[in-house]
Amino acid sequence: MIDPTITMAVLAGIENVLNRLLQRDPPTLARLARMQERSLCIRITDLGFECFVRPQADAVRLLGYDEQAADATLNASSTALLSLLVSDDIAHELHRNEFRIEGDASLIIELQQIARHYELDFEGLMANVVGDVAAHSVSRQLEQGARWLSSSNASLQNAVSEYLQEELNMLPSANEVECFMDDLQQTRLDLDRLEARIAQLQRRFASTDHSQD
Amino acid sequence: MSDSTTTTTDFGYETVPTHEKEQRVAEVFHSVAQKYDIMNDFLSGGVHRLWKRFTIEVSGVRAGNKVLDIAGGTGDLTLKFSKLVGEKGQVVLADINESMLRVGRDRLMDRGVAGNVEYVQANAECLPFPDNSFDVVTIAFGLRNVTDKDAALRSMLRVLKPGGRLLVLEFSKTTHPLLSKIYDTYSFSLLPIIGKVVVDDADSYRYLAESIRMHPDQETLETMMGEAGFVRTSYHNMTGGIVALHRGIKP
Repeated sequence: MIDPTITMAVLAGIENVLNRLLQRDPPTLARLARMQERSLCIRITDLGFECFVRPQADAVRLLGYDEQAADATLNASSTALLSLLVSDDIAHELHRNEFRIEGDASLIIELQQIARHYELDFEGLMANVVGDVAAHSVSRQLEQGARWLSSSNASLQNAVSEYLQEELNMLPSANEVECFMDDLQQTRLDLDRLEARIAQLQRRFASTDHSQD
Repeated sequence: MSDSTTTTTDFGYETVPTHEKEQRVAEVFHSVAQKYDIMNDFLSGGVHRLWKRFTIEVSGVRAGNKVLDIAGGTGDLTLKFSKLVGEKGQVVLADINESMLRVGRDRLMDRGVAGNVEYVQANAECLPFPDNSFDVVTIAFGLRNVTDKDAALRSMLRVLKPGGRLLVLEFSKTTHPLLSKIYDTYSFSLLPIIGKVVVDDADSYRYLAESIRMHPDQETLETMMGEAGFVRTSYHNMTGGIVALHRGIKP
């Protein structure tokens, strides 16, 4: 067994950061508060480590030791758990074999949905350290930067596809592809009909042959 | 009880008449009370918070419980317990030392803890509470200063409800030889110096180091709890056994 001092240090650290982030997003906190009295056990199989997640009215408690049975238990290896944390599609990840869920799976799904709706209030966090004015101007700069990045990304994509289609004629345009696909579909249908007609004719010939015999 | 003028007990490495220990311990804590929290953080590197955190988890305290925090001193455990038991529960912070209790009460009130906490100056050997009144009794870093530990354990058993649990968080014996070496050097060389420099009180911190060495080890304390009447006793070593958390249930 891992020394409780280490477990406590790890959990206290994570809990502290987690609650600080949660304090900045009251709607998430309110959603979590509705899950009071329920608990999720996370067991990391390869490290022999387990912890319990208990939502409270105004915070989340992480425990290393809990005698009350958890409502749900998530068994996973440390690598699988890490990939779950960074993954966008948690539901898809959960269906892989690396996870074993015992108990009430709806609890895990609810927690996952709460996590998905969480919005990081970066400006609020920074305001605690550097003050409101500085935080606001920094976050505005960052927002502008992000907007510029996403718009220039879109225009770059546009320009590249135009260059390849119009200037180099290496790729067909979307309209051309669409027409081609329509024609292809039509040909496929015609072929199917022709095949059915031949089969029908063959059956008819075969039956007239029999009647002549 | 035998004549108290002839029986002796340990006070750190000194042997003192039994009736004197209580007074000598009281002097130590009167002297350190004001700076107790700062020194705890300083001397343990903040690790005492982790030990107490684990104690809270093992206590299994829930909303509505009645908790007695003996030798609660500056109220670290009481602070957490008062949140956990909620409005319907109750926490009693008991300490034999008036200075410590005063510091604890002021600190908790400053933090807005009120309504479900009571403060009682009490001797752990003869607790002034009715039988079967608490769900959980804790004594954190206090048992080693109690003169008659067996009487204290019996008294805690008496005030617990049947099925209630006692948690004893106390310094204990390290099992790892290298860690013991470092720990001994730290507590006998460094600790009194830090005590001298920071709060100008080397003696109190020498007593701290000595009293830790005189305290019964894990197995002995577990046996003592069994003899006092606790069942399903067990203990968790923490930080390599520097500290142990003992648990016993009242049948």
